[in-house]
Amino acid sequence: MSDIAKVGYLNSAELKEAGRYPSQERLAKGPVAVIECCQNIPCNPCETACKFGAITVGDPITNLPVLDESKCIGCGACITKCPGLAIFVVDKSKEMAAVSFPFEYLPLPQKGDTVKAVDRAGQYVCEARVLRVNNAKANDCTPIVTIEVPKEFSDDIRSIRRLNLTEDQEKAKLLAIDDWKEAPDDLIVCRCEEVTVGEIRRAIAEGAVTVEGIKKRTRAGMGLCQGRTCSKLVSRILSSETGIRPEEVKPDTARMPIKPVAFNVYKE
Amino acid sequence: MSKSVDAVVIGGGIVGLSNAYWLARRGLSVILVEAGDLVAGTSARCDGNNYICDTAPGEVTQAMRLAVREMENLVKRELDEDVDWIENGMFTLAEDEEQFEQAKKQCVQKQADQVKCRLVDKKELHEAEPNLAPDIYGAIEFTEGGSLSPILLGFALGRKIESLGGELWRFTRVTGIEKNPDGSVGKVLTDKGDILTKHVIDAAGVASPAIGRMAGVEIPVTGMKGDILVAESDVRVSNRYVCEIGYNFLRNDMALSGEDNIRQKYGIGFLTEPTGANNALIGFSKYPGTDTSTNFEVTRAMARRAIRFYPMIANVNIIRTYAGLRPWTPDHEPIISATKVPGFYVCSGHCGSGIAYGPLSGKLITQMILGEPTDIKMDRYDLYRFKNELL
Repeated sequence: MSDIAKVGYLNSAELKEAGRYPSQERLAKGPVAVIECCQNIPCNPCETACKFGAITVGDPITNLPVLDESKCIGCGACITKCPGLAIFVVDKSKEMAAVSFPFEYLPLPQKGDTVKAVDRAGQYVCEARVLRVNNAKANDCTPIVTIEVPKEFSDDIRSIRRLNLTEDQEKAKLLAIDDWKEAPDDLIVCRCEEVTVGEIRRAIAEGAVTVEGIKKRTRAGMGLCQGRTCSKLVSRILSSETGIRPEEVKPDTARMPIKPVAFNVYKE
Repeated sequence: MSKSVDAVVIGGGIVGLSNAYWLARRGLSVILVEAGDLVAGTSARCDGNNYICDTAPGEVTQAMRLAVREMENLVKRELDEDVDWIENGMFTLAEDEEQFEQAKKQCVQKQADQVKCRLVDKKELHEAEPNLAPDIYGAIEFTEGGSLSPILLGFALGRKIESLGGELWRFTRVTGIEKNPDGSVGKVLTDKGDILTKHVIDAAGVASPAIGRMAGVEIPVTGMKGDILVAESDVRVSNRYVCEIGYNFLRNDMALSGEDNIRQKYGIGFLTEPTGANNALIGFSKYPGTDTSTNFEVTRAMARRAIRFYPMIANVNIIRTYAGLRPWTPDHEPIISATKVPGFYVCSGHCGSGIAYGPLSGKLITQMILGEPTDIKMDRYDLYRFKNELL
């Protein structure tokens, strides 16, 4: 059984097992599309995007797309058309493999940059060199980045780390979530108000024992999202620092309007 | 455990913290007892206005001036941290010509009281506040005082008290007050232990009557609710503290003319305060209450009122609403007073001015405890002025 319900993607072994990964022979010949779609939803822009008739969704439209690897030339036209960003192009014909993927985060990398390649889970795999950045008008604001990676990683590398994230913000994602004791002091927990773990630890040291107590001392949760993002994290930090059981940490009071709403909407 | 100190302050809002600060500063050993966290009640559900603007003439304005001086001294010289003190002047807005005529009279009266204020005509007003609705007619500018973050002030005072040797007993409930055989205060009982003391200051705000009863002292303080809307921080609404002139009349319980029913019923008017974090706070409402839940009918009417004065706010997001209870007294003046129980003092009922009056109130109580002459005459603030209410 795959973990798709939990992780949201199929890994390369699962794709290969399902017969949905191009053959190694085809990959060795040159660039070819890898369609990693796993959603039986009414969607077929990939089918119409391919001028070579290499992608078939057919009837019903909820079918998963099927690639005819002999017809695919690896042009990548389908990459930007997939709303789920689930199509990649892999080329293993040279000494180093090339992986092309959609990348919708600013700033974009530049050709020649050394970037951090990550797998489908966003975990760091290795350093990679940027071969191309294609942000043509036809891409409709979905740039395609092509990076050079060792062949053995090319079935797993599917993106790069965002360039504007600091190491520590990255660490937040990588941290085992329960392990807040290990979190560095300068890690940002509340993004709206840019409150760090260190500031929260200081508030706890000063006597805060509730989410509200931390909020009053640090502003964590006072921003636009009103703690919808960070209050759970704050609870966990409180729990890990004080030993109060997570379920006993007093949550903040929810107040109208729950989500930001404009005055002219609110007034009615 | 049983401790012994010179004074126990009950209440961890700005008023209680100010009392503990002054007592500690004057060398008394002090424990502040607070049922919850510091600044968790009314002091966290209010604005931070410390301008001399809407006080009644004469003695009241003089007291307010002293209060503002104490606050300025505190935030500029005594505390070592930033409490978002903003000294930018404030406007009270006249919506139309009729209100502007009232504003003129008020301004003359205030100037006679040596309040630093002046009339601002339409052109100057709109240059200073470009987001105002074009028809707003004029304003009075008040420049004495400033605004601050009561929450930051509270925690700064807490740290200052501890650095002066005072103790903060947070999350501690007072369960009783024991008297000596001669009727004077002897002991404060709490769920964390007893405290032997000769002086107890009841600064528990809306909870001060309950504390008073433990000592056999009736205190006529009730809750007067006020709602606040918090706007997102991405947009600058006003450049300074701004309120409608109707607020002054409302505060002094004069009838508003031609206002709709909801506004009358809940005492709704407009004020906005730009905070240090750039979230505009939008007020105000004023009606009796016993809890801090917000009233949707009221906050919606407040949103409409805000759009009336700052039309651009229609497209600004509200991120939160909250309500607080002003400790209210029958004559709208605070109670800063000794009582018939020797050693039991009341410092409560600041009627929406507890932040501004906090530091002065703490100083006055400390002077009373030390047997020193007080900075101002205390009759106006005496508990026993409410003869009828206390019967």
